Amino acid sequence: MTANALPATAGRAGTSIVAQATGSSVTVFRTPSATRPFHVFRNSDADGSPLVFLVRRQARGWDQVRLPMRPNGSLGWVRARAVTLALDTYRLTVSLRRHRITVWRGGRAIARDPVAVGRSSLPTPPGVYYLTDLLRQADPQGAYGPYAFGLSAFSEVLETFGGGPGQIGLHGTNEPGLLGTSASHGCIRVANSVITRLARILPLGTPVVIAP
Amino acid sequence: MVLHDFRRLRGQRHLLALVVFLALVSAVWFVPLASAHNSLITATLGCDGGATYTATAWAGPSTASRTNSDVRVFRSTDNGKTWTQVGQGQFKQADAFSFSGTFSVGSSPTVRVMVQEFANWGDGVHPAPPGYATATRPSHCTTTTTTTTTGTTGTTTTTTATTTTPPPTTTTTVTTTPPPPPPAPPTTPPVIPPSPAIAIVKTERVGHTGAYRRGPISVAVGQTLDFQILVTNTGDVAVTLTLTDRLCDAGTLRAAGTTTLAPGASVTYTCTHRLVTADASPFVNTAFVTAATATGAVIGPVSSSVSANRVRGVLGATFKKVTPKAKPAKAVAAPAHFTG
Repeated sequence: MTANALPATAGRAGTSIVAQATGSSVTVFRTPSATRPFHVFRNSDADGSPLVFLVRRQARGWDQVRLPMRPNGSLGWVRARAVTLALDTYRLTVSLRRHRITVWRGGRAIARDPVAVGRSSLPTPPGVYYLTDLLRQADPQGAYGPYAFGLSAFSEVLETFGGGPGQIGLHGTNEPGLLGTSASHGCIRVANSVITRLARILPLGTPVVIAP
Repeated sequence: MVLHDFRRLRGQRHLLALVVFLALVSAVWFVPLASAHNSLITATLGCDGGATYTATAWAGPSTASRTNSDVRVFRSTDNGKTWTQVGQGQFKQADAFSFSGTFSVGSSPTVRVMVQEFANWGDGVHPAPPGYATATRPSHCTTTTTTTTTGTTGTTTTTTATTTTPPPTTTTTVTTTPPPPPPAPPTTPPVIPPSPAIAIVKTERVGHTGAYRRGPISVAVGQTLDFQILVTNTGDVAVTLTLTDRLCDAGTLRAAGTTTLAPGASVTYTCTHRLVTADASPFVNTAFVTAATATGAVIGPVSSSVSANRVRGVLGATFKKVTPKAKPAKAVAAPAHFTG
């Protein structure tokens, strides 16, 4: 089940709902009436990040969430008692064509910055995703800059990259001269000052809308 | 001048030939519109350039207007029982749409004019209530007639005369007997037939709370939309209403009062609909109302629509309450293995 519709809102402009797992794992169902789960996510991944989902819609006792798995745009239903919910007023939009990221808070754009996105052979996949991880890097001057967010998106070309599963990231860069171009392997690169600012304010689960 | 001609011919032994003339009575009317939802219509009925009569009608409550409303013009000579389209046009806000035409009204003493939006609604969504106007034949018309006489010698005399008479309605025969005196003007003013008209405005809200609005509003599956439909008798005769609203849930449509309205009176209908997954988005709900007079004349249907955009997520209180605000992420010290 996939969907590329815009993120769910909680009835307020620009507000989304983040679900955080409460137990050691979360079982995911195709529908609330399904008898067997189709996937199980472990809470706290290998890096120790908590398991979060972006809620798409709600039903009594159930939440439909976006899933951090292939194929991109996967959806599933989790039991409401398996998660706690919180409101997130932030949202990111990335324009691949304009090489620009916009930070929204409560429906208002609060920042716009240039980005580097995937080159034509390794494109950044358009769609609606969310932030799944925030990793502080040991070398702030390295290829990822001081911080790297993981997204629920995966490269449509690379099955693995650097020992990882080909997950798309939002991170800093040691090549600021490439900002504003299509030069990455699929990740979204921003200036180190920008990723540092974002790392201070953005919750996990924040929607990331990648537009062509 | 006609009397003078008859006196000149009275001495002759032969009867004057039978003179038959058919006077064409024409109506010339003019329809200006102030705006799509705030229409002022003026109908002018005249005959052969004679005296005119003007009537006005108010087409309904005013709402927002945009531009380029498309309108059609209809006329009726049988008090609204049947309508014939006689024109079509387009106008912009603050401009006047005008349409004029000439047609025979026969023996009908009145002509009714209706202007109705049919596309590019003034407010972008809903058609304006149609506007009506009624005009009555003037009490006098100036008519030019041609009279041909044939004498015993076979000579033919043709005279042209102009007179002011009531509008001719049938074939008239003139003989050599002393001509009748000109008819006296009527002592009572012309009777204007009743002009029924109605206006309808529909509003909506969600969740049984808050003020009704014209919309569009947002609604989630499982929530209930409340609709309120205000119908006003904007005509000058009592009417009995029949209202239909297909998308209201069964059994929820009811009127808060009598549905037989005196001129100027209003009645409010209400109904509800619980949004289901199968409903379209936007969910557009239209109410239609017709009005019948005691004489059996029916006007309408006149409609008003509202729309609601379906949204995902939580809007009701039946779901788990979301109160805490998400906190900024705690960074984990770990090497990234993203695609870079």
